[in-house]
Order: sequence, then C-alpha cells, then structure tokens
Amino acid sequence: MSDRIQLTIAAGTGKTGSPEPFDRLVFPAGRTVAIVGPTGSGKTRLLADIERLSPGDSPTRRQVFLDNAPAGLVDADRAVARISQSMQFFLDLTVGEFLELHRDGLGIPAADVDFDNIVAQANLLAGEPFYADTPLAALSGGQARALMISDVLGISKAPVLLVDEIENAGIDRHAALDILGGKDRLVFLATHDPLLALRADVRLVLGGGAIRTVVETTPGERKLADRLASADRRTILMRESLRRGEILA
Amino acid sequence: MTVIIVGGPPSAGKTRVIHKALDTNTFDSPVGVAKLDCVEGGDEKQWQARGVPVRSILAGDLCPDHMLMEQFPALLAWAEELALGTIVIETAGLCGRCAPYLHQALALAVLDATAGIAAPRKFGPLLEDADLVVMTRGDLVSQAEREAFAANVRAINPRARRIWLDGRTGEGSQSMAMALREALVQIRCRTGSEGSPALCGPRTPLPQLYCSYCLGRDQVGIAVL
Repeated sequence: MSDRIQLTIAAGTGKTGSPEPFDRLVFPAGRTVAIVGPTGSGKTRLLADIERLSPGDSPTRRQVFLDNAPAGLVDADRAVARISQSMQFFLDLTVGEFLELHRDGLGIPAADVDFDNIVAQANLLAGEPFYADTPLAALSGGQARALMISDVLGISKAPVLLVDEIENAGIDRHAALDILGGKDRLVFLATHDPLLALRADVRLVLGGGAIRTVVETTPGERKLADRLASADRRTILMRESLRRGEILA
Repeated sequence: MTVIIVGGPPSAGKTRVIHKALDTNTFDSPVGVAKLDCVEGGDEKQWQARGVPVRSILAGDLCPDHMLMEQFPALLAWAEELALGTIVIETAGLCGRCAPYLHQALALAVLDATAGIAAPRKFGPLLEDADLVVMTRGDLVSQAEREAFAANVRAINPRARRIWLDGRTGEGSQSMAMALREALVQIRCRTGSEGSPALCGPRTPLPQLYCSYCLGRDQVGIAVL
C-alpha cells in the first residue's frame, strides 16, 4: 500500500477570497475524480493547479502535493499529464517524428517505447485511421486527442492524468476512460456530461472558483450510470449508422 | 550589491518576470531597475509607480550590448549613490551573436514558449551563458510542446535551472524565487561576498571593434573576408 501514489489538495480560496470549505482532500491511486460546475466555475483553474502541483502561488492559493510518486516521476512535469489537443507548434512534424521528439525530450530510451502500439491504440479511439507518417497538421481534433491519450499512456507514463471535457473531442469517450483508468493511476476529469460524471468514483462540485462540495457516487447513481451508458451506446450506434449513410427511421 | 542581468528576445516577458521576482521579495533591498532599449520604451512609469528607482538608457545607433558594456560603470555608480542592495538590468536582448551577461552578475534568460519548440537552439550565448532560464507563455502551448521546448533549452544549457512562469497570474513565482536564491548563492560563492562586478568582463566576448557597417556604410559586399 505504502508505495501507491496519493494526491492531496490543501484548501485555497474562491474568486471572492473566501476559503474553500475543507482543510485538505486526499485522493489515492485508482480513483477517477470528476470535476463539475458551470462554465467559469473554476474547473480549468483546478486542473491547472493540479497540473503544476501548485506550491500555492496561483490565484486560488491552493497547494497540491503528490506522495509516493515513482522515482523519476516526482516532478510535476513528469508526474502529471494533461490530455490536450492543441499542438499548433508541432504542425510541421509527422506523428512519428512528434512521438520521437517527445520520447527524446523526456530522456526515455528508444527501446522502452513502441510507436506502432501507440498509433494502433490511438486508432482504437478515433475515427478514420492515421499512421506514423501522417502529418500532425492532417489530424482532426478527435484524432489529435486520441494521439495525446495514447502518447501519455505509452511515453510519459504519468501516474496522474488530467482530462478536460473529453466529451467534446469526437472520440469514443467510454473506451478512452477505460484505458485511462487503472489501479495505479489517478484520473481527474472536468466534464459537463452527466454520464462521465457518474462514471467517476467521486465528483468535486465547483462554483465561484472554489471546490464547494465533494460527492461520492452512490450505488444508485452507479446503476443510473449503467442505464445511461446503454442509452448512450444506442446513440453511438445510430451515429455509426448515420456515418455509413444509412436511413434510421 | 548584487547585479542581475535579464536577457531575452524583445517581448519575451522580461519586465513581467522582474515584477514577479520583486513580488516575492527575493532580492536584497532597496532594488533599482535599469532598462536598456533601442527605441523609446516608456517602461519607466511602471517602475516609478511601484516606487522602484529606475534608470533608462537608449542605445540609439549603437548595439545595445555594446552600450551596456560602456554604461556599466555609470550604472554601478548610480546604484551605489542610491545605496541599492540589488540592481536589475533589463537588456534590449536583440542578436544571436552576443549576450549582455557579465561573469560576476547573475544572468537570467527569459524565453517565450510560443516562439516554437526549435527557438531555444537559435539564441546562442543568450541561452548558453545564462544561470537561470525563465520560460513564459507556457499556458498558450500544449504540455507536449512545453516538454519539447524545455528539453531543447536543457540541450543548449544543461547547467541552468529552468522555471515556467505565468506573468499574469504569477504561477511559478515561488519556484522562480527558490531558483533565484540558489543562483544568487552560487554567484556570491564565485565572486566572494563583496565581488566587484565592475572589474569583470562579458561571459562571451563582444566583437572588439565597430565595422564600417555598424557605422552606417550603405553598400554591400565591399570587404571580401
């Protein structure tokens, strides 16, 4: 147990300077944590605080600590990965060149990384397939996001993952959550999607820039999530049919 | 007195970095700021508004790094007259040939991540000779780009600590303050507690002479080297 990672958030303040209603929140490895709240409530700011393992110098003054990070993954740069789709300054590279640059930048030996596997896994999440020699500029937003997910899992191997509004990425979000989770990882998920929020173990409810409430997902909510998921799968099947040019009714 | 020289390309965020460093009370006070510019910069007001003594130097037709070397004794005299604990010199930061850093002054480079991941390989001694590198605008690029940018900085200057700073929110200023304190200790070890910066030269030598182009020649290709 003692060597599993654990992330602690020490309370900061909301936008008006009022303190958050807790002393500290502790998240052990293996959990998926949803971050919910209306736009402007501070979800992205919270992700940014976690991303830097903020020492308290951000506008919220929150402090974030990570315990038991594996050797070599102690710094925030290596321990926390954020799934983004912006890669605007890499656009003159191919997928393979990008992965190579990322691997070398992190000082990871070539033998430890399997590019074919990373590309194959990304293709499981996204729509039309792409390859190692596909230029980044030719990837869609969803393909880029799928590549970033696969890249994080295959290259940086960060134990803490931050995912921002994956429902907007145009990828298979259930499959993405399935591969991102795991007993040794901690996943934070900012979302507006009730299904994704209910799939998490716990949700942080934000308002006015502060974490207002922490809600454990109830057994009833888990059942509800299963029902929502089967409805969602039907919607996805319809989407696939539409994409094939079929008539639905 | 401690001398800190801040280099970096124009508009990389040097002034904001200095503001954030002053916010953390890292430097021996009182702190004064000297600003070197090629064209009228107009930055004095924001230092005056903060109550920080400021001295502005315009390089005019001269190379700004040459101008700093020429003006350095006068700047030190000004700082001593005001009994400053620290003088921060913000340079104009222009060419990839030279850098304005002196051996016995703390050399801080400010680089903008939106310049692109290959940019660190093009700065020359501005990056190579720095004691500390502050990287700005990391919030505008992806994490993978930040990693690649930082790796390229490390490849050019493995000795310097690298810090990400958001000049608007101040995120990273605590890490910067810690790195600055470490770098100041190292500089003091190197120079002795009362080092005399006036007696030391630039870390990378500047060109020894002005050529005729520096002085305004308007034809190309006359001298064959």
